Amino acid sequence: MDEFQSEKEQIDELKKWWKENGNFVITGLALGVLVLGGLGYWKNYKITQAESASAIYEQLIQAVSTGNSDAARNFAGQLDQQYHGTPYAAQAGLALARLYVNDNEPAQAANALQSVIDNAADEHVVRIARLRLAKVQLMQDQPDAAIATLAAGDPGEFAPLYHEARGDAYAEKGEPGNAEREYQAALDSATPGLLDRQFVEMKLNALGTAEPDA
Amino acid sequence: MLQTIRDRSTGWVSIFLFVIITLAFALWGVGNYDFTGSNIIAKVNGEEIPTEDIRRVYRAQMQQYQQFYDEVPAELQEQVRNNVLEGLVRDEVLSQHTRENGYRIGDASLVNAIQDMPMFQDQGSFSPDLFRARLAAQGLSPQYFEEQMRRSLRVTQLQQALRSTAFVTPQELAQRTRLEREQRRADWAQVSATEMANQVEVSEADIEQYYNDNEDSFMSAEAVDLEYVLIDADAIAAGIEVSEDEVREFYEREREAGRFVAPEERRARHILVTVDDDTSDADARNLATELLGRIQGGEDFATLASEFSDDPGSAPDGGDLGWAGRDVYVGPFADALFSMEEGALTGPVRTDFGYHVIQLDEVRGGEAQPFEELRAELQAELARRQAEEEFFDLSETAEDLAFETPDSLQPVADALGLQLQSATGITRAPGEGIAAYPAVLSAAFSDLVLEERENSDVVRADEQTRIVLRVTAHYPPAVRPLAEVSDEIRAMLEQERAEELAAERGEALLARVHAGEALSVVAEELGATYNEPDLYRRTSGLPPALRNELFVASRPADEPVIGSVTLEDGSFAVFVLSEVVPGDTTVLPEADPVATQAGQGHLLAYIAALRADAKVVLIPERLE
Repeated sequence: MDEFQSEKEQIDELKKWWKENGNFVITGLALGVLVLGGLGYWKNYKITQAESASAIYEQLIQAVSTGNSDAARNFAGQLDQQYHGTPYAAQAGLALARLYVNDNEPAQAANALQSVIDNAADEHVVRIARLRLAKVQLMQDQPDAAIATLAAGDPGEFAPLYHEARGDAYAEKGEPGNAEREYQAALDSATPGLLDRQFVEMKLNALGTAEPDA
Repeated sequence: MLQTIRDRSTGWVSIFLFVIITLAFALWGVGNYDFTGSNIIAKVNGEEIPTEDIRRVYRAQMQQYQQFYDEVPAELQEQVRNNVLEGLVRDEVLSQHTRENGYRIGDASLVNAIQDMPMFQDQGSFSPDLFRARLAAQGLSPQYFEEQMRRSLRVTQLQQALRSTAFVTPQELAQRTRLEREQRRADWAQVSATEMANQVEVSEADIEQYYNDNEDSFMSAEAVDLEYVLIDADAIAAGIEVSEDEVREFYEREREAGRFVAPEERRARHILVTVDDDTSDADARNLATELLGRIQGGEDFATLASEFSDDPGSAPDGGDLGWAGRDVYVGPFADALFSMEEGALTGPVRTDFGYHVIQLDEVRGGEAQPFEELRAELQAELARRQAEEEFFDLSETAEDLAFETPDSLQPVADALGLQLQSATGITRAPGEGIAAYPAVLSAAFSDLVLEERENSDVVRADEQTRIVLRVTAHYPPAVRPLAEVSDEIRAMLEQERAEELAAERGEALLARVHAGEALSVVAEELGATYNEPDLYRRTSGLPPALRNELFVASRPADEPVIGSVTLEDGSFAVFVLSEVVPGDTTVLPEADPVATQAGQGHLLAYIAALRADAKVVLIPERLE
C-alpha cells in the first residue's frame, strides 16, 4: 500500500474495492453460513440416529443374554435395516450370528457374518467377523472354505486366533502336520489371555504323532 | 503477506477465504487453541491427556505399596507407572475409537445408568440431592460427570458387544469335552529318592571338599549390634493425667469457639410469586399479600402453595422446603426465616426471585452439647494432645542431644528418662523387634552410623515410634566355619546323590522296559514301587509332574507308549501308557462360559490392534 496516500484516498480506495468485490464477499459469507447450517443439521441427524440405534442395541444385548431369540432377531433386524450408517448394525450382525449358531442354523449365521464383513466400517470388527465365519464354516464341515475365509485379509493382532482356527480346519481335513504347525504358531504368538492355551495344547496332543503332510 | 492477500482479495479468492476461515472457527472453535502443554502427560493420536487425573490414580496405587515398603523399589515403581500409563492409553484409545466410529449414549440410557449407581442412592432409590452432594464433594460439575459417564458407557458398550456375541459351536464344545474329560490308562513305578538316601554315603572328607569348593555360598550375612533409645507415644499417653478443671476449662474454650453446636436448621414452607416480564412488582406483591391474608383467614398453606407457588421444586409438596441451615437461603429470605417463631407466618418478603409468603414449621439444633456428655471424650482428647506435644518435645530433645554427643546415647537416655536398650545380630533382612522396621534397618546400615559410628538421626519407625540408635559392633560378611554348616552340606549332598542314584536306577529300569520286559517285573527286581494299571483323569491325584507328563505323552497307536519323568521330590518315575479313552460327551457342559472366554480373547486382540495403530507420546516423568 502506498504510504503517502491521504486518509481520504485510502477510504476511497476501500469503497472502490467494496463496490467491485462486495457482492462476492456477501455471497461467500452466505455460502459459509449455508454450509455450516447443513453440517450442523447433518451432525444432529447422525447423533439422533446413533442414539436411537444405541438404545435398540442395549435391548438386543439384553435379549441375547437372556436367550430371547425372537426379540433379539427383531431388534437386530431393525438395526440392520434402519441404522445402516451406525456401528450398531455390525454389532447386531455379530449378535445374530451367535443366536443362529445356538439355534443350530449355521447357514443363517454365515450370512449374518458375511454381511458384517461386507459392510462394517471398522476393520477390526471385520477381522472378528472373519474369524467367527471360519468357525461357522467348520461347523458346516467346510474346512477349505474356512481356510479361504481366514486368508482373505491381514489378521493383524488377531493372528494367534487365526492360527488356532486354521489348525482346527487342517485337523478336520485330516492334515495333522499342517494343523500342528498352525497350533504351534498360535501358542508361540499369543499374548496372555488371548487364547485358551491349555485347550490348544490338548488339541495339539490329540493330533497324535505327526508326520509331515504331503 | 497481508499485502498479497489484499491484492488478491478480489472475486472468488475472497469468497474462498471467507468460507475457509468461517468453517475453521465453527468446526474447531476458539477454545481449542490452548497452549498449557505442561499439564499434559500424554498425547494419544494428537489428543492431549491432562496429568492430574492419572496422577491421582498413580498416587493411590503407590500409597498401597508404601504400606509395605519404607521406600518402594525402583523397579516396582516403574512397573506401577507403566501399568497405569498403559491402562490410560488403552482407555483413551478405546474412547476415541468408539467416538469416531459413531457409538453414542442417549440421554435416557445415561439417566438410567446414573440412577442405578448405588453411590447416588438413598435407601435403594436415586436421590438428586445425594447426586449433587457427591459430585460437589469431588469438585465435579454435573455436566463434566455426565460427559465422563457417556464416555465410559460407550466403551463398556463396545466391550460388552465383542464379549457377549462370541459363540462356541456344538462341535467345538464336544471336542473340548472329549479332551478335558479324557482318561488315560497306565501303570507306573517310581524309584524313590527318599529311600535311596539311606543307601548313599557322605563322608567328612566329601563335606570338607564341597565346603572348600563352594566357600562363596557359605557367607554369613553382614550384621550389627545396636544400642538404642525408643520413644513410644502410647507409653507417654498412658502416663498422662488430666484434671477435671483442665477438662472443664478446655470445654469452655472450645464451646466459645463454636464447637459442640450443631448448626441450627429450620423446616419451612413458602409460596413464591415471581416478578418477571409478565408480572409486575406491584402485582406480585398484591398477590402475595392476598395469599397471606387467605392463610391467616384459615385457608390451608399447602393447598394454596400447590396452586399458586411459582417455585417448581416445592409447589408439589405444599411449599415444603425441608430441613436447611441459614446459608442455604438468599439473604432476605434467611433473615426473615431465622427471626421467626416456630409456627409463625410472615410475608411478603422480597428476594431476587419475587415475593415469598413463609411459614416456619419446626426448628432444631443450635444448642451446645452439655459438659457432662462430653467429659470422657474431651478428657481423652486433651490427654492425646498433651501426649502428642510431649512426644514431639522428646523427639526434638533426642535429635539435639544425639547430634551434640555423636559418640554416645547415654545423654539422650538420661535426658529423656528412658532405658538405653540393645539388640544384637541385626542383618539387612527384616527381623524381630526393632529390626522389623525398614527405616531402622536403613539407618543402621547407613554410612553415618555404620562407617562413622555416629548416632543416627531420630528414625521415624512408625506413627507412634521414634528411635535413635548407634552401632556398637559390626560383623562384615564372612565365610561361616565348617562346623556350623556341616549338617547343611551333608543333607544337601545326600539329597543330590540320592537323586543321582534314583535317576541311575530309573534309567536302567526304563531301558529294560523299552527292551520289552514287563514294568511290574523289572520294578520288583530293582526295588521300585509299582502301581497297577489304572484309568487316570487330568484331575486325578497323581504326583503333578507325572500327571502332566502322562497327559502330554503322545497317544499309543499299536504299541503302548513308554515315558519317564523326574518327580518334584527327585524320585524317578516310569510309566507305560496303554490306552486313551475319550471323555464322555452325553452331558455337555454349559456353553456360555466357554463362549465368554473366547469373546474375552477377541476383545483383547481388538484392543491390542487399536493400541498398535495409535500414535502415542508419553511423558512418564510428569507422574511424579
